[in-house]
Amino acid sequence: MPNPEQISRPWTRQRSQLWFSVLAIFVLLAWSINRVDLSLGGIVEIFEGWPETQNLLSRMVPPFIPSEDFTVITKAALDTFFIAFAGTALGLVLGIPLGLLSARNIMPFAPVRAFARAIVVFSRATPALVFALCFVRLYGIGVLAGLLAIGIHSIGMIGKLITDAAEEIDPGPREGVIATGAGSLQDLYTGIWSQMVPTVISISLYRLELDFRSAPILGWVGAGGIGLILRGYAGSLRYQELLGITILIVVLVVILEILSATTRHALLGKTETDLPGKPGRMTQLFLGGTTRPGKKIADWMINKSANKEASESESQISRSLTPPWTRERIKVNSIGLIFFVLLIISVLVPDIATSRIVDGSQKLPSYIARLTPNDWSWFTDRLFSDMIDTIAIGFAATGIALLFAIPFSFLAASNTAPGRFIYLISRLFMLLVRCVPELVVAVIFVAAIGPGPKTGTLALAIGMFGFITKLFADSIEEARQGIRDGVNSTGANRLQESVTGVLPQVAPSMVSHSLYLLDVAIRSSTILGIVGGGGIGFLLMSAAKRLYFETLGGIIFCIFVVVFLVEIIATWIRRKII
Amino acid sequence: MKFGKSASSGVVRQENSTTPGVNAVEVTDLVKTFDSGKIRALDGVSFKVPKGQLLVIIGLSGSGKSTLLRHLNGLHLPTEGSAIVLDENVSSLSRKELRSLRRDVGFVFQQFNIVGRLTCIENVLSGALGRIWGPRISALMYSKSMRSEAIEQLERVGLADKAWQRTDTLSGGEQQRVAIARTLMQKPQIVLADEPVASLDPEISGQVMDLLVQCCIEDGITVLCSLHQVDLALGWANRLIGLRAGKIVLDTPVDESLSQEDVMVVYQQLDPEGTKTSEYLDTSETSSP
Repeated sequence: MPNPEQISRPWTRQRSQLWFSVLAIFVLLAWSINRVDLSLGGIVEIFEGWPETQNLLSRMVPPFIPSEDFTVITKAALDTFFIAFAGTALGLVLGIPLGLLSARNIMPFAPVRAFARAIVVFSRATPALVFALCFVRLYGIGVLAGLLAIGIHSIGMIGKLITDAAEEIDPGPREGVIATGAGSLQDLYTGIWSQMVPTVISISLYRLELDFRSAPILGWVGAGGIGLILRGYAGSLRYQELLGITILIVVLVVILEILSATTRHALLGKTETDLPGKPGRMTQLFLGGTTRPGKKIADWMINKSANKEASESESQISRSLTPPWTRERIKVNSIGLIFFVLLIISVLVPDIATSRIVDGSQKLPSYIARLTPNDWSWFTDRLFSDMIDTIAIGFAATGIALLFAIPFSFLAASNTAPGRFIYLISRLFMLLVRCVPELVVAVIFVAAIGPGPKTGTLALAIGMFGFITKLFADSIEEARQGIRDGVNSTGANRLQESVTGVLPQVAPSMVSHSLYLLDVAIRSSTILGIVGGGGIGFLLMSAAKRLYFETLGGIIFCIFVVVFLVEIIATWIRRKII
Repeated sequence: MKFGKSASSGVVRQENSTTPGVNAVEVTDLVKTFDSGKIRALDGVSFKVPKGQLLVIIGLSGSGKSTLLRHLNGLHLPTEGSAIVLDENVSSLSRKELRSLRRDVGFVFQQFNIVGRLTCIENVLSGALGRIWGPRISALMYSKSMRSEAIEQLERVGLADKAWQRTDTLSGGEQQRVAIARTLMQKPQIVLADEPVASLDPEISGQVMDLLVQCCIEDGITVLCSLHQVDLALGWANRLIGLRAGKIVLDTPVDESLSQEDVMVVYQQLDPEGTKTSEYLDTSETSSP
């Protein structure tokens, strides 16, 4: 008989740390849910107010796009596309050099690296909508402000991923290039960049997808595109049109997502790395003993003179000096051409006045100076309490999203779904949810339930749910079958098998993804208030409207600090756990 | 760019007994330590290589073969002693001078070190980068004469047909042949080959070695090649150097009087306990990367 100590797990230091962290997270979560008024009482309130909500919802159906506004809406939708496309291009143009400059194996001077990294970190931590809010004051209402906002914010993610990609390249080929006597720039292109191209394509397309999702809302603050129309309908309580535009946005995002996925597949889908296996005969070269020292040289010298004439006539065959037009090359070149043409259109068609760019850029230094607070008078109690709200919204939304995402992701993974039909339905549902920008959800929810942190949290939770379920389902699909077979062979049922065979395998990546989710959620929660979803966004918007520049700058600084801290903590925890 | 560890120029002793221009490589009392002196990879190595010689360096892994070769084109810088290549002291060169030296010194790596994503001809063309200014984004940015030169070099290694194929679609032996074509494209005076066939199977190893040395003889290139396989070494070398624990333990010309058994004996002296026999006897051990 084992004694009781043997059948319970020993209480190690690591285990107590783990449990302490879990407890801390739950306390934080409970506090956040309470703070955003989504505890039991808050939920009851939603149900008590249900008839009214239902009434508001019923005013949204059937969704409707007024024909008299058709040209305006088409133009706005196209503008949104141009903002996202040209903005991503701008992000790439600025982000790639900054990313390369912050890579340790490219830039040996630490101060330059630190400077480049600082810009990248600041861009990443400040939401595009905040940049848009500032740029509208500087460059005027319209496409230009939105384009710049998307571009400047995109620098952050692009720069970081480029740095990671550059630092991970295989140093071997690079050494090969250096050994030929190549200079720094030649090494950078042939040795480093050539190896990074697939990663860069995938980063660019991913960023483009994200920008297509954040561009529609930019118009809300006047930065061009369809958001302005959304705001017009929400403000004038035209709910049918509001839902109509929302559906239009979702359809556009879905189409663009499919296009992006097709491009990704066309460019990166096929792996050409499979080497043709050549079974070599195991010839005894070592112990054959047939080789006389120096024999090979002598033999070859004799053969060489004999074969000279024959080989000379052979080498007369003309070889092409230009690459042949293979299908692969035609495909890559035409995709490149399409993207180039789209970029030209995106820059030229919205009719951006160069005078505005010059004018705005000249005012930029003085504008930054006006944004810089001289004292702490802007730091009011209201601001502090809203900032806390913001963090609570981010936490609560992450918690709610995870609560639904963990079970649902098992349905949306091909290897754990109970049937092909359920898998396909789940994936489709996921795609649709993912394609609704969370701020657009927030606009609808604010119209249905009224403004406040509660609404913001629910809207954000839906957005985060769509975002995280895909990541979870993808990592579940990567789980190894062998371990599951082992669990299955003990006679476990489907649920037991998923919990014992799959969950432990995917737990580390799930934790890592969840921390990333928290990071994203806090970032989004800072801007929810702009559309009425609670948190610091409301003060941000009103400061911008009333031209309280110091307050505006102070709030941006606070957002930066919070987002940056959350990122640092998340990275630290991720490193501790994995 | 960083090219290996920084060098602390220690004691530099130079023996100027030979007239310049005769020797391609002169190594004097070369010492290299890693991890701030904990690992002594090279321990006072001295030798001279006259122009046109085919020198093969043998030794077990960890004996300092790679480290030695990497000193000769400045991928490593010496802790003590000096390496004089083509009458230039490698450790005293500026970055620009080092680049122009590297142009004259080709390097063939064990792991090929070609860019798999690029086409064969682009990899070969990268051998010409030292001659031109600025980066080249596509093969079409090199001049027509350079492209036809690259095709000629590919022709020599028997791969002209595959010029516009991605290099990672080729087999290991073919990839190494592309790397050789890249080196020949440099028009070097010296080729350093660091175990060029160690990740290939024995049959392909023989073919690739043949090709490398033949091309170098044709172009009158001095060759310093490190090898595992005694048989290959005997076939192609004029001279053999054996390294053990960073020291030269064998330096002999290769001629009719040197039998394979002699060298095998030397090999066993390198490894008296026979603990690493598999490295130079069992072909299957070295055949796959």
